[in-house]
Amino acid sequence: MIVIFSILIMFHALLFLLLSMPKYNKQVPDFPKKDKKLESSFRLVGYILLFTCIALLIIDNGVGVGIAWVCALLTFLGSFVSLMFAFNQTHIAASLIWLPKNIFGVISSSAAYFYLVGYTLLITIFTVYF
Amino acid sequence: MKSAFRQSMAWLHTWVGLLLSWVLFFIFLTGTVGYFDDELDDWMTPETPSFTASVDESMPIVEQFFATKGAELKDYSVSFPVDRTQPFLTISYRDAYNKRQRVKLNPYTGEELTPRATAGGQTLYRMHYRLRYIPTKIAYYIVGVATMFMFLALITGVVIHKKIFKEFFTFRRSKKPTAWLDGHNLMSVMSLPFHFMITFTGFLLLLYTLMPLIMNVHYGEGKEGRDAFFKEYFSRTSVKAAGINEPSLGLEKLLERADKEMAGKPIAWISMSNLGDQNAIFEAGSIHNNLSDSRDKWVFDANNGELIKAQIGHESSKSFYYVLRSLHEGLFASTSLRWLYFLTGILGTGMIASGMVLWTVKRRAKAIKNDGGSFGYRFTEGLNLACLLGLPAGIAMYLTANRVLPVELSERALWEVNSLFITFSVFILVAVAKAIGKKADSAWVSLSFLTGFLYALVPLVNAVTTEHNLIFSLLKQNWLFVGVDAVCIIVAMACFILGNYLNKLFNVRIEEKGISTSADFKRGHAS
Repeated sequence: MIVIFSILIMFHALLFLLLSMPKYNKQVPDFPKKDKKLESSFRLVGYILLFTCIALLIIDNGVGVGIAWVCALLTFLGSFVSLMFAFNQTHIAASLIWLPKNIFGVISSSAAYFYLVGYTLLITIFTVYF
Repeated sequence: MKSAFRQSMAWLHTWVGLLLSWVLFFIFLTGTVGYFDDELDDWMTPETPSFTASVDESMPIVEQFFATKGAELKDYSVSFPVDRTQPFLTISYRDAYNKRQRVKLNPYTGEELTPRATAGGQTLYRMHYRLRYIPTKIAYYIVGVATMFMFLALITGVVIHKKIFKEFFTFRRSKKPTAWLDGHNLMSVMSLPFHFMITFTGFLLLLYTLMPLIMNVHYGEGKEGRDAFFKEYFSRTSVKAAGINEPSLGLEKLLERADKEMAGKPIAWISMSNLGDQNAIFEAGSIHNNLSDSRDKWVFDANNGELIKAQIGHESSKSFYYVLRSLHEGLFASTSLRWLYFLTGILGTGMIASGMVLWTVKRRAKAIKNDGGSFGYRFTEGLNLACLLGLPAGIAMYLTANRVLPVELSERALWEVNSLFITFSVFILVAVAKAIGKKADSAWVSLSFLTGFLYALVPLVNAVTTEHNLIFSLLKQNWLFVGVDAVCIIVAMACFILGNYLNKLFNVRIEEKGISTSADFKRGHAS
């Protein structure tokens, strides 16, 4: 369960980092262009989620095995995101921004904080109940 | 200054990468397949099923076996089928002539299992660091040098990659020349932590061969010195018989003692030395389920059940070594993590392969202008092609040979390995000859199709020669056989798609150029 959870968090973290770079976000039609504030909030949340995922894997598996999981997942998901983005930018971006866009109406920093709050809640609930 | 430094690093990266790429490709591919060495062992002995049985379930058979052997057994060891590395109940013992014997048993019926002689997944895995047909020590030195150069290639690769963060996710598939570079960068950068880890830990595994001086100073040179060092370092128990008879406790009582001391850890193996002697020793060991407990064991006096030594965990330096070794070998890995190790290993192999192709692609335009390029260029392209397709084809042939070679053939296991290298050699001869004869393009196409055909053959031959065809395996949920068949089908399809793509690519270019010479010559030039 933790592994599936970590895969999801790392996938979203990598997408946040990808969309925080103008080189990539300009290829997504719906994404606001040259919005420094949006890009920096996406970058910040991307890094926070990435470190959260690393922490989860290390806490769950111990330092050594956790690092092995991080290395392997980063390689696998990073390559997957890059390849999918090369083939269809809109769809791969939609897997991150579709939900907040439907909730908030626009893609803004709220989208990033929405994921941050959402994952914090999920991790808290998971920790308390399991 | 900066640019000159980067240029010199690029030069170093290119040439170090190319010169060692053939060895590194071999090491990476066989090592990657080696993550499933035990599973391949099982696949290559289809007549013997794998078992899982606890110590309690296996003990009646062990006792029955000892009862048939009578009092002659003084030294023996038993491995229980509680782990993926141990699919049978295995009993090793010294017979009346002091000769080491080993039997594999069904842990539920006691039936002796006689699997076919096979090199198995273990040989494939060992080739990853011992290579083949050359003395082990020389192989260690070659692999050690290759590992050092791999490190150099990784560091220089990071230096020459100007925008490593900005281009973290870049893959421009439509731009043909840059697509190879992007692919190479993508596979390198994404798995950089893994590559650093695997290279560094791999280097450490060869520590005693590459840096023997400290060991030699303390323990002496030669085999005796090495043996003395390893005996002390790995805490190998070896006690000589006193020659004084003394009754030992029964196995059941000793197991009870072991169970109590091991505090719930499952027993994976037991061993008895000098049974019935004053110096009788009983040992029990646990399974390997975390990074640093590779040799946890409990040593007892077999005559009174007293615990002599509990070797749990290690002092920091040895623990550090075990952690790094386990990280490299993935011994602790669950099935899902093992698959991730495998996929990451494939990406590492892909990184080396794309580097080899990139070297060729970069020099192609110049080669076309210069009548097919120099002999050196054509020879290198031939070797690259032979390595990239020949080794995978050899592995397919290795699996096929396991099924088609007669079971009674003497040195059967050796011939399985020979079949791998014969196929590889044929690929080298064909690819190099064609590349030198300016027919490299047709060699790419035909050898891609041939490799695909060899992989497609594996599930077919498996279905004809065993009861484990893909459909039956699916119905029986025998995931091991499903996995091997599925991987072979995927690789076969990838090779067919590659062959078809290359064929179209080369033909389109020939038509665009409108060259009117013979077809093979055109291919060699027009690509």
